Amino acid sequence: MPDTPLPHHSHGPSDIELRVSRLEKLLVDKGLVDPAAIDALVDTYQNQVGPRNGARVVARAWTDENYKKQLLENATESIMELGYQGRQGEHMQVVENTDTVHNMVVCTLCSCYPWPVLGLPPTWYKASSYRARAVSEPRAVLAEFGVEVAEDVEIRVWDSTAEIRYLVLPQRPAGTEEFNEDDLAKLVTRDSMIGVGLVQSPQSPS
Amino acid sequence: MTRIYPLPGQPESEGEAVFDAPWQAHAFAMAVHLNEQGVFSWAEWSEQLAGLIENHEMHATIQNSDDYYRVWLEALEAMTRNLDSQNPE
Repeated sequence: MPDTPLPHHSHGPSDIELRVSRLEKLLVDKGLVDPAAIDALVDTYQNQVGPRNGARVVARAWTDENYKKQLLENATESIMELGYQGRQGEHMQVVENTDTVHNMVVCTLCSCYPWPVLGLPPTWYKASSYRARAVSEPRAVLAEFGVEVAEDVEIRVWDSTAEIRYLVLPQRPAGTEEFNEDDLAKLVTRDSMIGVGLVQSPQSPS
Repeated sequence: MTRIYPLPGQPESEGEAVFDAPWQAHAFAMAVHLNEQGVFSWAEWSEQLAGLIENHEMHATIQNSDDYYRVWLEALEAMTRNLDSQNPE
């Protein structure tokens, strides 16, 4: 930073807070940023968009064979059909876990992630360790998440980019034959849609 | 469960806060808003961010939300600096 660091005041805003507020003021003054739009975006990503959207997509695919086929062929449109679209969801691909293939998703360069279906990524997804190790030692990483993948199951690691973002279609757990779409959606976790978790069988059907 | 070295916050992080501090939320939203306004494309943004992450990771790591959004803010400052040089005040 070219500026002389400001003296530290224990009760005042930190340097980083000042940098952000200075930049925001500058952009507002230039007419490039509307403070109301900033507040609306924060609210959207903090409170409204999250992995429950993706869980709906997964539950639909589990209960509707045609939808699943369409989802695997054209994820962007099939997801849009359920009302989830927008930023970072322009080009989606869904990859299906099977008895022989386990998929997991990373963004090695930065933090590309399918916002409309999963919300913003968790911290570990953005961390150096996950971004490097998901590719170099996926099995070890999965084990740390508590996912043991059998040796004969192929692990495919998908590297998201600004152009394409991946969503894992996890395997439907046993014991859910009687479940409807709503019940199924409740079982689907964020981690299972990144491929670092499995959808667990319910303890007892509700 | 043995961990080779920890993946921060996982796997208990399903309920984690999206942002750790309001400045992170504002830095995030400004980049999205400027992109929506057509100031830069998301591909340009990603390239800038990825470049700065790469620089950062030559001497440090990203371990938490604070680390990440500091680099994000650097990218935002860089993208808006370029803007300044095109439209000098």
